[in-house]
Amino acid sequence: MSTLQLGPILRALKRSSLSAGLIIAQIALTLAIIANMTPVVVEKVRLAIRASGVAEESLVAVTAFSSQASDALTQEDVGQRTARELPIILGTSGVANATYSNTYPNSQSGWSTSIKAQGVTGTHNAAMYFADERALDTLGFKLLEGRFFSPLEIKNHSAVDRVDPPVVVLTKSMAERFFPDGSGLGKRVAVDDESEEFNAEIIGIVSDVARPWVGWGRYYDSMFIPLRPLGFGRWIVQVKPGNDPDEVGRAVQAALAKADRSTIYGTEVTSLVKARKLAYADSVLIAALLAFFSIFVLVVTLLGIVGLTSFWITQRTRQIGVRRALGATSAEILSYFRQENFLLSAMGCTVGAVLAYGLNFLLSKYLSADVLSWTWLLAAVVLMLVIGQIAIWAPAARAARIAPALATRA
Amino acid sequence: MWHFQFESAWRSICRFPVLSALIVVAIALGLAATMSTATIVWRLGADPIPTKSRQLFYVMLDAWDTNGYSEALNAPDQLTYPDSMALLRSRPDVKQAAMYRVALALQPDTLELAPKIVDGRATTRHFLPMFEYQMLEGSTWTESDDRDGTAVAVIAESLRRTLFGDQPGLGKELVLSNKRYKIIGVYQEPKRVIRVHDVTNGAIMKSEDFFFPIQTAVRLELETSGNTNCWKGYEGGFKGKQLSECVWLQHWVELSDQSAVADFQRHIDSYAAQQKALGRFPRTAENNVLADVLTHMQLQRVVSDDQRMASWVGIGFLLVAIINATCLLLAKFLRGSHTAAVHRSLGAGRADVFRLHLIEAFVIGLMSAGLGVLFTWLAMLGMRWAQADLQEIAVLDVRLISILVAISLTASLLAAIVPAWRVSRLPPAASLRMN
Repeated sequence: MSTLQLGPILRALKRSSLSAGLIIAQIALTLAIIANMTPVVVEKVRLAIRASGVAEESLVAVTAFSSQASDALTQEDVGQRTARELPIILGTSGVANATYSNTYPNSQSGWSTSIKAQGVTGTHNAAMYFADERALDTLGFKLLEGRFFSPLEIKNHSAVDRVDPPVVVLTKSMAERFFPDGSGLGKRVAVDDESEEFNAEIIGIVSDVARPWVGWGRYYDSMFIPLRPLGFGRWIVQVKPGNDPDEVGRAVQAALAKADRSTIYGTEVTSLVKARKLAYADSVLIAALLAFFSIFVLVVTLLGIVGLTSFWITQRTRQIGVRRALGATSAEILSYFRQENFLLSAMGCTVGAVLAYGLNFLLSKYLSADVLSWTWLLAAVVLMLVIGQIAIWAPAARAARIAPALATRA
Repeated sequence: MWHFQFESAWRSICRFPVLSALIVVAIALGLAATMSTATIVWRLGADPIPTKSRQLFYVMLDAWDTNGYSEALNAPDQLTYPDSMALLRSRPDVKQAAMYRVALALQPDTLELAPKIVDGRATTRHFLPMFEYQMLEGSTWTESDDRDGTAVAVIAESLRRTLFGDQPGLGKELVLSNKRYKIIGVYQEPKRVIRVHDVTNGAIMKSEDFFFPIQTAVRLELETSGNTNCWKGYEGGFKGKQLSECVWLQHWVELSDQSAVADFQRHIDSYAAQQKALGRFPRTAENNVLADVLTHMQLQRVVSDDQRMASWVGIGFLLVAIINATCLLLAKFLRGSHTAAVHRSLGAGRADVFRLHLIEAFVIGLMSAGLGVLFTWLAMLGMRWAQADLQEIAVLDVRLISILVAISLTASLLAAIVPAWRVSRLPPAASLRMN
């Protein structure tokens, strides 16, 4: 339809070399920002929407803090106390189930330990969830193999002894660290890498449950041990459908506090949905800011191209009229501006690619950013070229409509 | 004269309202992006204790294992109990504050007040004066309290008010997790953006409810409510932890001048070498750091890399907006060059034309500043909503607004210099003829 009109384009650009240079610089800078920020935003969002493996929407955590100093606490206290508390919790309106643990996914606090498996080299870090027999039903993860803890297996944590349970349950991801072929059930592990005694048997493999911390890797490397925490623990309460977890949590707290003044309940009453929001607040905020900035930069550049092209077209009205009078079709005029913009965008992207890698070098050197992959850069280049074409669409169409008669005027 | 110039600038802006609006809105957005994110970096990274920041040093000893520590080059950010105590004992001449965080149950004597968890810190008698806590009643504890682990506490003014209302706290008793403490002092909580003495357990935190001697806490075997990191397991509960290689204490020293710093550095180096000779410190004995307050904040990433990145991207955005403004102002000035040509032919010099265009840019800068303040305010509102920690940090004040206005005017004038110069150079005759 239309031939390449490189000669006239270059001559025209040379006449407005300052504007052309500025728009190229603007496109280059925009590309460098977009190419570097998009992967950061995508990664942050990907992390923030990872499933935790528990039924967050129906769960609320209520803390229980014993006012006894740890030297006065005995193991019996915890067992008696939780046995007393459970019927109160289950009797609160809206409560479906409850389990006593040390922590929950996305709480940002908890314990981890190194574990080893018998006959397998290497140690791995495991998040430790203290669990009673109700954890499986309450939290809503799935039993994949074997069984979960029975009531008689649940012991009370002691302040003095090392955590050394006879049985453990691992998440699928955790088990596969040691047994990639999925043969973990029935194998023995040593909880704590100092120990060479493989005292714990893997009695169950469950679906993945996230670690309490969001900032570290190996998000699903978790282990359940049949213990009740001493001193400070959390009731994780499952609410019946149609109930607000926060409200039920506060009702549970009030009921517990009424029954016992020596334990402090609900310093935190946190629904697991809220816990997720809190855990990811920083990275979601940064992702949102970076996304907004990137979008605004794109829009500003797009409108900048629109403004500049419109100006050029006004400036060249007579010239366009002359070309039309000499036989150029309106399609050729349209094509001229498209090619001109493509040329500018391409130059901007070339400079921008260098700039993008330069910026990435600085970001990865000083601010621990990941290395920019060429696919993201390519995607950003394509985006910039498309944005450029969109930007000149309306002004170029206007130019194509300029009547040949205009050339004769003025 | 000035009246005419501003009116002329305003008329010129109104001749191309869409183009002008685009320039103004773009700069305003760039300003908001820069100011909202830079404010976080400034406020979080600002010196929290300017009078003392060059005399307080955070101690880091590399007691870590050869494998397993993620940041291979840095020593762990806390000390083991034996190391911290050894430093206290070996240099009684230096003001030192070893410390750890505790959470205890506050059990008021009256039934009207519900028991609650309070946040405290076990430390030495030097802590309060070192970190410039203002005492309202009494004072910090004595050397013998530190030695014997006496059950005394210095409490925050807010806790005193909760417990005793209008009455003084001095001499009263406090029940914390079933133990009685005698109140020997009341302090005003410092208004600091970050809790600088323990950023390991969170930088954006309000000050503690009470302080008490570390030996008291240890004698009562009070567990830390803060972070504990271990590369080697231990047995025997709290007593085992006291002897273990786990790091869970923060340790500050006050050193008044360069020679004192050098002297204490030699001291910790020789201590580390000695420990290595005894079979501890498997990694190295040379990775011992005395970091002053700002260095410590930098090492601990009090301002996160993400926050710094966002502010740099904000500045990049502003840069794009400035280039955009230059480009569009050039177009705009050239399109309005007829007016300039009329002025020139009526006797105005090139300098007058140049000045007239800069005044137009100045007006644009003022408009951008106004809109920029609005956008920044909105951005900060969003930031506070998204992250409650920023409640007192992402806030506009007069200083920020004046910085914003200054940047806006500078940016607009910067953007206009080249276009204004270009249009002032145009031969008037050609422009007149064009239209």
